Amino acid sequence: MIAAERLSSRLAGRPSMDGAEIVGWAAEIAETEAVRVGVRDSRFGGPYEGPDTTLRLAGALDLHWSDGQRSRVSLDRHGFADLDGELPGWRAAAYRDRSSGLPRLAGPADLPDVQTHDPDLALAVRDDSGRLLDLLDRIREQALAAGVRRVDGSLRALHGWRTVATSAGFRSDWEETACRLTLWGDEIAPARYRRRRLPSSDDLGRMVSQVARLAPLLRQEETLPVSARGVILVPDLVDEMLARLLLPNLAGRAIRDGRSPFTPEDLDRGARIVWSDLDLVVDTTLPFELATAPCSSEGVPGGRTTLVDRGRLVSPIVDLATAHELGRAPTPVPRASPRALLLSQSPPLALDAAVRLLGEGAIVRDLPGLHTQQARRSQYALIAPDAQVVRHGRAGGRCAVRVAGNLLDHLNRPTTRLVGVPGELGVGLLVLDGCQLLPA
Amino acid sequence: MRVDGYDRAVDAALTVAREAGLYVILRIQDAVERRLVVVDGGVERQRVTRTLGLAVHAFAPDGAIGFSSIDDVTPDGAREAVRRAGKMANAARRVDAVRSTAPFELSAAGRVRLGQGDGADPISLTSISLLLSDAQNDLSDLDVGADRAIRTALTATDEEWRVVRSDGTDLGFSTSRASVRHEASGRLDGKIVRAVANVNGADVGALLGATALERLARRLRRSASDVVAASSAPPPRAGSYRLVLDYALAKGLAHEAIGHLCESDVDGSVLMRGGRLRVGERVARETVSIVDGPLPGDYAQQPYSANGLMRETVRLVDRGVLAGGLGDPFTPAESNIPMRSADRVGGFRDRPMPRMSNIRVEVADAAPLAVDPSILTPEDAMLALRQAGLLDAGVPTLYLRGYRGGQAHPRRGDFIFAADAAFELTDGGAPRSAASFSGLAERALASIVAGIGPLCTDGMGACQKEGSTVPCSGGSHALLVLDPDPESIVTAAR
Repeated sequence: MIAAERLSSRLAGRPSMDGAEIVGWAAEIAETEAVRVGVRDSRFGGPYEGPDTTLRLAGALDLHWSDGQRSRVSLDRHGFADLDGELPGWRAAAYRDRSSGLPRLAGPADLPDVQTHDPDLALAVRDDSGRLLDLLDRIREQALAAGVRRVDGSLRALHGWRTVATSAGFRSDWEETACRLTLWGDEIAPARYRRRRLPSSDDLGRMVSQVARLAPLLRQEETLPVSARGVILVPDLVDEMLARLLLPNLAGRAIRDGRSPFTPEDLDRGARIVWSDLDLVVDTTLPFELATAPCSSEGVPGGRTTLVDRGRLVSPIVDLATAHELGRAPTPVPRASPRALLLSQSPPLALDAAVRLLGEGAIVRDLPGLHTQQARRSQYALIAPDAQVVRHGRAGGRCAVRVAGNLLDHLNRPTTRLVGVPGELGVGLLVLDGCQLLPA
Repeated sequence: MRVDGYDRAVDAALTVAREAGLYVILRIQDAVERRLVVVDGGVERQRVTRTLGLAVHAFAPDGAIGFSSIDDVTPDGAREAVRRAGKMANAARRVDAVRSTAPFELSAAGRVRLGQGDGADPISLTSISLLLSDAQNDLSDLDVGADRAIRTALTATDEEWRVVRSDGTDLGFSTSRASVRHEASGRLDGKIVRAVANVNGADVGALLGATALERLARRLRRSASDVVAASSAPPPRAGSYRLVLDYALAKGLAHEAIGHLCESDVDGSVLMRGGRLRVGERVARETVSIVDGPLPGDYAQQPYSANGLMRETVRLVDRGVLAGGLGDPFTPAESNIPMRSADRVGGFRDRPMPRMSNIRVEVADAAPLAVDPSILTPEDAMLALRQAGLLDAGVPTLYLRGYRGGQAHPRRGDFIFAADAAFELTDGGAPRSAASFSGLAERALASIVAGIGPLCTDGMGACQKEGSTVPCSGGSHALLVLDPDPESIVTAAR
């Protein structure tokens, strides 16, 4: 990337300001082009959903000065065009970090060979955005033909180049693409696709089939059975719940600062934090997943790290500086889905089997307001307006429910089972105990 | 203004648009955000982020619409943005997308500049970190348990916008804002306790003055007392109560449960019937009004809309009657929502849509309050309710404090938001754990029975409608009282 080359070259010259010179640096630079298009009430476009396109060149710099200060600044396209003009601003933003000294910088490293780029998707974004509109049009028509009365949806596609480099000799450049497709049938039946490549015909068929199957069911209002005893949380929701209610507590910095319910002692002794059947893993090397990248924004190589092994806490998620302070190896840091993978020693239940095992309860696909819940305690108390009732071991119509519980508690109960859903990388959860469920 | 430095890009864009037969609305954002985090007296993080870019909303003569944005405010960048927006409009036409010629009807406003800065240098981050460190020292006696830490975050955004339309309109205005937020965390009986408080406004200098920092300290002490009490308290019984909301929670109710339902891009909220806002219908007691509009000096102040029109103050509910909505130039006439220039964007890459700025609940016969709202205790609330004749042993009454955010679904009309702590006022103000409050917008609106204390409008938030983050604010009287309603339910995790 030309911008990255120019920046590296300029910083290598150790530019100075006010008697201090830049003696170390880390930079992440991304140049992207994105296309977005939406469907509302079965029609394309309009002032709020019309197709749009974005060009962006952005950098995030961590600059280390010879007087021991540090600057963390952003760089936009104009800044790249006039690096010397940015220097006074960089210096004015310098500060002395409260932790000891300047943080370490990533050095040369072996990086995993990962799949982050789909040439077809790149071409569509760059030169043939009509193809993306056609894709959304096709899925819209298929959903309508399948009996859905109202289709809402959006497609966001991105192509770009990303560079992470440091003055300590680390450098990685990669091409990346992303595609996020969301489909709603009759405003109640969702289907999502989020990967680094264009959806296949099977992917699209699965989405249409899901909304077409669910929408008519959820149009029927039902009541929650009095004997409702639990919920099935679908994979997308479990990923969101892990990201909101568990992963912040596994951040090394939060553990170090006392903001996590887990302590450094818990880490040292490998405290059991979830049921011994469960593992929790972060993996930034899975083919075409949005979390996939050869390295983190600091230059920590991508990889697979086990955070929880058979129920025991074995590693926090740590950046370079915190890893050094904690005396641990830095870990990959997923920036998108999957944020974490929940694994079990025993195979996950199929969704149908989970529904039969649940008997009476609800399937929850969305928990509005999850972002307002207490992350540090892993608790939640929310409404699922579009939950699907489960009665006599069969999924039925729509039934709004109030659901409250504690994700850590769910994961600590031996009765909680993982649920596999075809086409989904992550797992859902069947929660049979410890979850309050009331009609809403 | 800084945005006046982009005349050449503006001229280039308008020229290319004219040649292509496109009507365009250009939007330039030039912003610098400084964020400083001080933890226990030392700087943990300081970041400066520059945002500079240009967006083009292009309208072909037949109404086909395309949008593009680019972080290149040069003539070449502007030309490219117009070209790409035109291409998107053509693509929209090919799939028979919804069209609009509404902008063609707008009246030219000429060249206007508002909110020009005073040219003063920004306060140095070193000076600010010392001020914040001193502010933390003043809280050295604050008790939130073991492993106590205080994090203070200052966010100051120096932001200018320029909106230019093909009709000759050329507006420049500032939407600068700042906030200072304390977060105190500790550990009580093995559980994490976290208290938060903020002060906010348009002027960072004022927020760093002694008056504002003292107010911030008082608010944090109040919050710490709440969350410490809540940490070991039992959850409230799930069910309906007479609810007493602090003004930040009341802002959440007004924003989530009322404001979003009155936005004209929402096709079919529960406050509409047959695609029309139910203007003229009684939805609340005749003492209750809900108003949205910019306030000078406010965190979310915005003098002009994103499409370049003077932003108006709108009475959504006027003395109990649904009176208006938040419209923009694209609001269809049949929606019964007049064009009120309510369109906003969070960044230049966003497409404008109707959004709230400062929304507040006003009660005409609000009862007086003898206490500073920022140090209001549950006991004070009990006394105030008793004096207002609203504390009745037979009506379970719960006081919710500390807004943690919320969400609403306009078409269903349901909402939910979370509170840091609850106090059962009919049980002597006994603390209860953090709780969520959910309900139906119309029912909640109809159940507002009283306001107590002065209007407090600095409840700060970040509205994330459609994934676009816009600063927002609002409030109500210091306390807002809602009568029990079977659909308004408090729940908490056990």
